[in-house]
Amino acid sequence: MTLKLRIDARRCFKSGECYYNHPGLLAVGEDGFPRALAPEIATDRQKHEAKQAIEVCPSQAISLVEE
Amino acid sequence: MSTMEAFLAKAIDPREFDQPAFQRNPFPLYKRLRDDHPLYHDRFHNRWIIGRYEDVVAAFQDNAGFDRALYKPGGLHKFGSEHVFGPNILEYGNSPQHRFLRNVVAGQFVGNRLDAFLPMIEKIAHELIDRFVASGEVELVEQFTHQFPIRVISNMLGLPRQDEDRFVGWYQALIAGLGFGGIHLARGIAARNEMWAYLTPLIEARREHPGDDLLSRIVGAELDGVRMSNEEIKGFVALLLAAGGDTTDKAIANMWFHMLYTRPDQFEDVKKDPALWSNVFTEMMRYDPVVHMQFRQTTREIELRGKVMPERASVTLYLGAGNRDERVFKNPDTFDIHRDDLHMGRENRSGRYLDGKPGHLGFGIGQHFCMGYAMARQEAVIACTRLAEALRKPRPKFEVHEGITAPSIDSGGFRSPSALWIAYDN
Repeated sequence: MTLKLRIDARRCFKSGECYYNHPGLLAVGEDGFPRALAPEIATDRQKHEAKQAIEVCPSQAISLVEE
Repeated sequence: MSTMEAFLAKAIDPREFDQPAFQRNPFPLYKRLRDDHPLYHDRFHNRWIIGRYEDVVAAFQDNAGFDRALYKPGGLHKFGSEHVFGPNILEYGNSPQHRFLRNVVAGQFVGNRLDAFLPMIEKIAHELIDRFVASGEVELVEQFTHQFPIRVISNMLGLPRQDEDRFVGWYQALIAGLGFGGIHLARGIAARNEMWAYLTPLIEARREHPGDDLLSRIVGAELDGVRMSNEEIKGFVALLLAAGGDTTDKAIANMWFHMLYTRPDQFEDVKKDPALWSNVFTEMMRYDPVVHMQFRQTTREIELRGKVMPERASVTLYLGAGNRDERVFKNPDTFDIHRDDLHMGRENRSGRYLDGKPGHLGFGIGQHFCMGYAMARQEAVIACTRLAEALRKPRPKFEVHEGITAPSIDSGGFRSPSALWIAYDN
């Protein structure tokens, strides 16, 4: 089982908060929507950053999911 | 006309930027910048000026080419030593320290966290309005806007409510100290030192017994296992009080000014449909925002509009000029809450909107986009809505008003009316 960042494209309104605050985790795509960079959220530091990215998203479009 | 005459006809004397006429009404000069000098080399003030909307956006989005910091972390300069706030995020540029500090609090001013504070924001608005509502007239700046956002932010920080009046005093001195030095910087630093002495035991208490408030969050934040020093924490608090207070304070005054004096006809629309206060906020942030300038340093040579800025050049991005760009907005010099060529909803740090419309530049864009953007909008709209409900038939007390200006050198160039008298039926 791995932890992953999921971005809900229906909720996301391209605010940019996630990739500006956490350039290690997310990057902006050509379409203006963010993409998760790492295939999984493994380290404690990544988990901590992922939680902050979820918090700072104004559209609540980011979540951590187990797969 | 000879080539020389044509050149001279368009020339800008850089001393124009220092004239009271420019501070009262900068927009004619902004237009000359956009039309004739899209990249203007101001040799007198040793800076380059960018004034077109498209170019301001591009500079904001180019982190690699434009840095915000004057000094590098780890160099000779001790951060905070020359700043009225003490060490603070604004000096850190595009560094990891900046991202860390921003992440400590950025999530607190948006989304669910912000929603949880809305009842408190409402309560403070009502308390302040109750103080004057029976009197039939109010000087909105002194009696409301100077009071409201500072009380909201000190409440979020978890500071004692009975001391709010002291924060109101300190914060005004801090803001004055942000200007251009002299007596105002001295007063600002004196107020800061008084405030710091007051904060020390409160910070110690949060270390012992962390709570749910913003101050506890700042005290407990770690970067690579290291917490902020007391000095850094106090610098952060000073910044939040000042930045979280002053700009929203002036924004609310500007919104009422435009409704009372610029567009009383559209004020009638807003009275019928209070949801339009949101549009008043947006259009105010375009037409004449509180903050007109942001500053950057080039990190390398940058070519723009046929000229080349050298590496380490000081660059002024004129948000106030970009917002009036006729290449982007129809009738840019008309204040219109119903305009269809401006993104009217909540702002985005990215500067991109799903509706495809351009946004105003009043919060900046990108790495250093205003951290309190969502909160500022909520506070301003709540305050204006509650005021409009409480004051019956609000109207200007005086027919003539000097207008919105950057009134004195101590304001740091922030624009708002210095006073705004409103009469109403009670």
